Amino acid sequence: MSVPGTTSVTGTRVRGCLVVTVSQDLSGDMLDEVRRVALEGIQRDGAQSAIFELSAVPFMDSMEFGELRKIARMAEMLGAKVIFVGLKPGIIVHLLEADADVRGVHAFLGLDEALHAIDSSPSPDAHG
Amino acid sequence: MPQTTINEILNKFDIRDADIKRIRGAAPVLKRELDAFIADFYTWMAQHREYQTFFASNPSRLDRVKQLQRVNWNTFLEADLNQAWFDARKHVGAVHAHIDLPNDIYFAGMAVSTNLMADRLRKAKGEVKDLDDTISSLTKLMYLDAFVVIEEIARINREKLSAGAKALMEMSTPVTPIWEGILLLPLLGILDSQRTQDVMNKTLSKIAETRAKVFVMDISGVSSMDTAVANQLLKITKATQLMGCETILSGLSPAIARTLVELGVNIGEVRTTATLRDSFELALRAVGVDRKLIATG
Repeated sequence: MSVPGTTSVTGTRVRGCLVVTVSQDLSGDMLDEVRRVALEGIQRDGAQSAIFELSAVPFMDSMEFGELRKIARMAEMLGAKVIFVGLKPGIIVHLLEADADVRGVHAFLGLDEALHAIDSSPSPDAHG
Repeated sequence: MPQTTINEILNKFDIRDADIKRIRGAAPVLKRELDAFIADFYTWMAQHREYQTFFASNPSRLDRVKQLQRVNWNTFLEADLNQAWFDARKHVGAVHAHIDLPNDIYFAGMAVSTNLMADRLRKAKGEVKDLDDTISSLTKLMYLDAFVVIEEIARINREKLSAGAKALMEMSTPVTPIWEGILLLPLLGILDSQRTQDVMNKTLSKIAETRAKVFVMDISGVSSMDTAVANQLLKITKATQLMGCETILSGLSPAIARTLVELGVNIGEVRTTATLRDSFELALRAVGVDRKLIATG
């Protein structure tokens, strides 16, 4: 099931998880669009987890990364565990050079690995 | 080399049209004496050990070099200071760099050549106008010739050094897959900011290439650790985390552990072990290798 959105940010539901795919850099209104697609999708579908698929994002500065993390925290407040996927090595080097706070970020190289990790992690219900 | 660069060099060496004209004027006298001049040069050269090194065991090489020298001095005396003239001198430099000719014998040889030519001009006094000025012009061109040769030798040596440093850098960060999903980097020697940057870049591209889940960085061979190096290593662990790959820091000696604590470096959630064996075991468990296999292996 797809969440309505623009062509640059799309939300797709995969096995109970909302995959938010960003297909260009995060400047301009893109972050607002990511926030809208992610939060509305989680609320509507009751997704337990959300994946931010960023492999098509060519560059990202520490402010944009900080904003993404804020969106991730908002998603977590709505009850979804957030995973970042596909960050390019060049972006990672830049973020660390800029002393971006990456503590507690859950990240994977590819969508397969992220979905596998979600499938194998215990569901919130298991903890009561 | 563009003509403007050639003109700039000639200007630096104060080589004017009058100098070129004087050298060309003296060229017939010197060309006539060229065989005798080369014979005198090798009489001088034979007194030095480099002659033994380069020619004693190979008389045919000596004949070939004499022939090349004849061509070289002919173009030198024609003083047509264009691209071809500079290229010919650069070729001499490349040959000298290749055989690793010591600078002292080269410069001494150029000085001897200058004197031998000047002597011949003095003897043919009646045939050469403005003798002192001609010798001065000849000397300027000799300096230019030597500069072009030495500059080429220096350029080739710089290239060799840079290639060597690059090769050393490649060898100093061998990020190697040691198991499905596990990468190992044994670090040795001194870590500086350039090397840690290289470690970061190599590690991230290797993780992307192999889709590794665990990266074991063994620092037992690192000779010293300070706050800057420790922070760089922590940055690498954070970077791998953003690619879904956990870093285990192995080989922490008691001295390094003590230094880190005393420096107040917070290594946070990074997993550390004293030995590579322990790290390897943790890594195998992280990629789901059966516990029994670890116990029997």
